Amino acid sequence: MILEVKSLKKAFGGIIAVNDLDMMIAEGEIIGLIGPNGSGKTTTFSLISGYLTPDNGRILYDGVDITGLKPNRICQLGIARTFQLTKPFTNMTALENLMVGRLYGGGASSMKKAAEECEEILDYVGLGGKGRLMANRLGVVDRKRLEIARALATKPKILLLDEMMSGLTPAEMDATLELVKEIHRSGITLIVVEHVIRAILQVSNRLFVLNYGKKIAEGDPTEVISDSKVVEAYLGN
Amino acid sequence: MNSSKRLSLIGAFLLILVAVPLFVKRNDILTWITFTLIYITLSQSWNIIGGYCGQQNLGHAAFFGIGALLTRYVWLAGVPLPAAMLLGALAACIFAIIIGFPAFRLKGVYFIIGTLVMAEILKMIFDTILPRANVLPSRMLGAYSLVPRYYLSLIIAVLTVTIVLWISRSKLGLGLLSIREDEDAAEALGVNTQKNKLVAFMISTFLAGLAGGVYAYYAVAAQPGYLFAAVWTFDAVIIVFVGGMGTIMGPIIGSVFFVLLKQLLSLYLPGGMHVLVFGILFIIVVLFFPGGLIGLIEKLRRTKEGGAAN
Amino acid sequence: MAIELWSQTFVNGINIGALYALTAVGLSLTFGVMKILNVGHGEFLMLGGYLAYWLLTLFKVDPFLSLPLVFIALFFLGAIAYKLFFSVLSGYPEEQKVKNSLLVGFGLFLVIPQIARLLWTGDERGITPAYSGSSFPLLDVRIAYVPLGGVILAVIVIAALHLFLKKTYFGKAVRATSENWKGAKLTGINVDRTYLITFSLGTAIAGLGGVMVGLTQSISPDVGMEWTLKALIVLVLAGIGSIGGTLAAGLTLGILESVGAIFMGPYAVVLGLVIFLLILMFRPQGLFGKA
Repeated sequence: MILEVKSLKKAFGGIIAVNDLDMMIAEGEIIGLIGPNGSGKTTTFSLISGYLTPDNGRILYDGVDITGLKPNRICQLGIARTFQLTKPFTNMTALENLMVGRLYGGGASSMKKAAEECEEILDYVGLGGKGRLMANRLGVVDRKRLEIARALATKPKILLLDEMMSGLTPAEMDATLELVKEIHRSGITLIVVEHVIRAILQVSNRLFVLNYGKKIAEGDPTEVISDSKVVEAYLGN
Repeated sequence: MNSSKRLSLIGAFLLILVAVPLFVKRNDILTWITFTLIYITLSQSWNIIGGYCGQQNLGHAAFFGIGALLTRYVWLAGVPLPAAMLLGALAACIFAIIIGFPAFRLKGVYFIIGTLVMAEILKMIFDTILPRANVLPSRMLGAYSLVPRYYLSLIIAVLTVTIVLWISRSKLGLGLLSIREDEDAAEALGVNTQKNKLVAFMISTFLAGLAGGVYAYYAVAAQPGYLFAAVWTFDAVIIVFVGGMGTIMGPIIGSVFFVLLKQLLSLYLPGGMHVLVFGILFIIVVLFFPGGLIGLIEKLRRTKEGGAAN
Repeated sequence: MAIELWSQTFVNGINIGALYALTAVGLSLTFGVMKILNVGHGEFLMLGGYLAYWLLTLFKVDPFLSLPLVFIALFFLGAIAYKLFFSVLSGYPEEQKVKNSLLVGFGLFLVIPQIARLLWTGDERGITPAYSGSSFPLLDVRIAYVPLGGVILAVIVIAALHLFLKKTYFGKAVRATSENWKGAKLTGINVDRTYLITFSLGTAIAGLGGVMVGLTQSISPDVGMEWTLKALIVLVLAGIGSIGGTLAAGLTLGILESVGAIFMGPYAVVLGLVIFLLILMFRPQGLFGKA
């Protein structure tokens, strides 16, 4: 198991965002994490990546307890995330954006090496040649690519992708899906939060469904989707 | 302009600066340049934490003051000047470490105000325990010459600019910028924001302490409370803002104009009018031109070149 | 120690504390509603003081009678300042807006004192009507008329503000905007106008404070920042969102400083600043504020 989440709980004031969540993820899987709005998906990401500390429960990464570690440490250990609303370093170039990840999260040995390796990553995600552009001059799709590329620069073993498909045209979605599959083929375990169901069905080998912070279903994507509890959760919300 | 041309230009300029006291004997000009160099040091030091790292602390005067005060007393007690300055800068740095931890726990507006208040507390304490101005002893007064002061300020200024230049091209520089842009994203990419902020703070305050040390050597008479006056912070801040935050040339150009304006305006108008001009420029920069003068120049240059296609 | 000394100290503390409260309440209003920390707040106080000074010196208007005039004048001045400098920022995202407003206020702090110095020189001005030094005895203490006027003014203004916010339509609009400006906008409240009037109210009240400062101490171009800092201390002590709490916090600070002066002498001024820092670190919501 590359990632184990045990009895994870997080509340904000009176609202329980994540309620007693268990997840076991093997290396090389692509996990889909779905659920209606407010079901705790992004909170789960924030807990795993260390941005939030759980009230209860533990997170084990490759057998090591990483609960309560700071986000930068968790990133260095190999878990990277993207943000739902992209957070580029707007007044830095695309290349510099990646270099931050490569130098601080990916352990690059020098600025020069980091720059070379990041140029490659930019090519890999389809931003080749745009390294010198200021991040604030990138369009919507390119920003999403940048977000993914930056996370990749940190040499993750697990990549948490938070709603990459939002705001994309079907053609752009297909291109992004191809990229996701590429990333998976390179050996990275993926957990993907998504609202676009057809996208999730295409890539994931297993699905988790959350509702009000609790896991209500788990298993094979096509089966889970037709599960009555899941349908109810989406319609009910 | 390619780098070797730029390098030779800088070298020539430095050579001129070094040669000035050999040909120019007028004290007012030497004073003017010395002050400009002190301001370059002070503003560049703030630039590290405020411009590159985005932590706009308003307590900078405290470190200038600690460096100045300690250097002054230790030097007058007989310790050679370089050692005295080093002690002063180290003291400033140590104080920074002490208050850095609680200070950086404050967020946003509270951090800015909190650092200002910390500096004010120091000023009030020193105003009270050392109210009288410290004057150079008569043996030194007789031998006082501006020339060594000039060269010292030049050396420290060059040192400071070199350090900032090095930072801007290093891993640390990228880390600081990422913290400025988006702390959460930086953390998510492996940047230890607390540690990096502290490092930037330590370098920044050490250099501010050095600037204070230069001033301590320069001043014939210095009232200890004045060394901690908030005006040292504010001058540095508006110089960096108007010149261009997080740039190398910004604080340099800003300092030159600032001191120039100060000298010129004080001839015809009551003191402080240069603050009026810079204050207005400051507001304009904050509202309309966040990149300052350098940013404006960059923008104009880019639109002239036709701008990069998306 | 003699009971008279304690009582007099207490009275002094109330006097200065009321002034602190008055100065702070305008800042609290602006910060609480608009999340703008106007670091230039003290400059409006200073301008109010100068206005009262010139009204007395040139036109023989009694300072307490000039209060409504100062209020109106500083209201308009604040409105102009808001329109010129701060409204530009209203489109920005929250965090940037707050930071940039701070910087703009800082810019005002740089600029306005210099203009004042150009116009009126750096000399200190005291507002000294005929009854300036007189006082009457009450039990064992001396109550000076002028500071008493200040206390009464502070109480009236704060009570009026409280009623205004609670009872009037506009007051409710202000409170609604402060809690949720988007929601307020949806219910038809003109958020921009609300902000404008809130800001101007803040500066107008600051102007009133300036008159009292001129009466009890003195006015000079650089007097602004000192009072901005005092207002900040009271603000942090009281917490955001409580007008009555601001009064209590101001009086508390005044009494603390007054008592502190007996034991700590000249160091008493540091007291307020230290309290400020301690509260920021350990109880940021203040003594009376909502967490």
